[in-house]
Amino acid sequence: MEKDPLIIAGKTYNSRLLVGTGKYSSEKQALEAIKASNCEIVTVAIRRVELDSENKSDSILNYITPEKYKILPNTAGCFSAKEAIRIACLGRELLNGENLIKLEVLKDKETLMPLMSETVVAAKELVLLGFEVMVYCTDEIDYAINLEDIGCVAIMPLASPIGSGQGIINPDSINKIIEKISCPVIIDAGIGAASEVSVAMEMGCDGVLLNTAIAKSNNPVLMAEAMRDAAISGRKCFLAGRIPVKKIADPSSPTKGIVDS
Amino acid sequence: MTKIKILLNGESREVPEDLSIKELFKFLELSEKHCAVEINKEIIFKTNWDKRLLINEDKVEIVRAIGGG
Repeated sequence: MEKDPLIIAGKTYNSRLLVGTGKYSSEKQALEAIKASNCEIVTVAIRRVELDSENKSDSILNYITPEKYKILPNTAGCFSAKEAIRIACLGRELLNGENLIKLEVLKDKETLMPLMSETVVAAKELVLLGFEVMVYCTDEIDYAINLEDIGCVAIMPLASPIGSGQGIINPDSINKIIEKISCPVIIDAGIGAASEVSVAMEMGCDGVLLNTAIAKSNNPVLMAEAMRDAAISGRKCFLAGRIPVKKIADPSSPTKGIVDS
Repeated sequence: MTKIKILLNGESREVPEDLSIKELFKFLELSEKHCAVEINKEIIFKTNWDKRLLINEDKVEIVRAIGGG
């Protein structure tokens, strides 16, 4: 297959699978799974250093290094634009000025659904501050268009609630976003199985971002491989162009020359 | 040695007077690598860590990256 890179904010990536680094049982397991996924972009969260911890000087960035991976800090745990902007700025500072950010502003701790009014406010401000904003959002087309107009570099609608593993619950809404949005559309959150990654890619999504589906599987390394293969397979299917769905059967073998009984 | 009181990552702490941020890391026996610092909600760039001295009642946040999705 010819090269088919994913381009985000002018940078080229060969992998269309983006992987989170949370919920693993150990650092070793996280690193092995991330390696197996072949991803190039990994998300991290920004939190206070636990000053009373024995391992207070340990950092995930010591083993998942910015030299090897594009580190995408998120604003997870923020419930207002103000908080998200603050965390984004801290993330940029600790990554020595890297501008790429995954913006998420959540409605509440129970549903973890995006709070779109505040997401839009934060996106506007972050773009003005020079950030390259990959934005976690609902699958509502009007917001997706608005966020692209603001200058976000990737629109990342949820497939279903974070960590739920329900897969793509509104394919029609995702299709509309793919159709109308020019920048990369990356499915973010809600994926449970490799088939769902494949479906997202077959639909024409530019990438998939997932975390729990790998980290909480029984075998994260094997699941990371499955997700990697599914992203590649789904993308190939999209590029090859699937056949239209027909209401009636259409024989695969010639109907002419059938041996009479 | 005179001490001052700061709020560090949400907890009240006593630290020596005239401590720079760089010295605060030493005082805490904490590696500076991959950390960011905010004082009173204003980011202090690494280049200024040796210049900014802590003063009484500063609200200091030291953050780092951890696993997340």
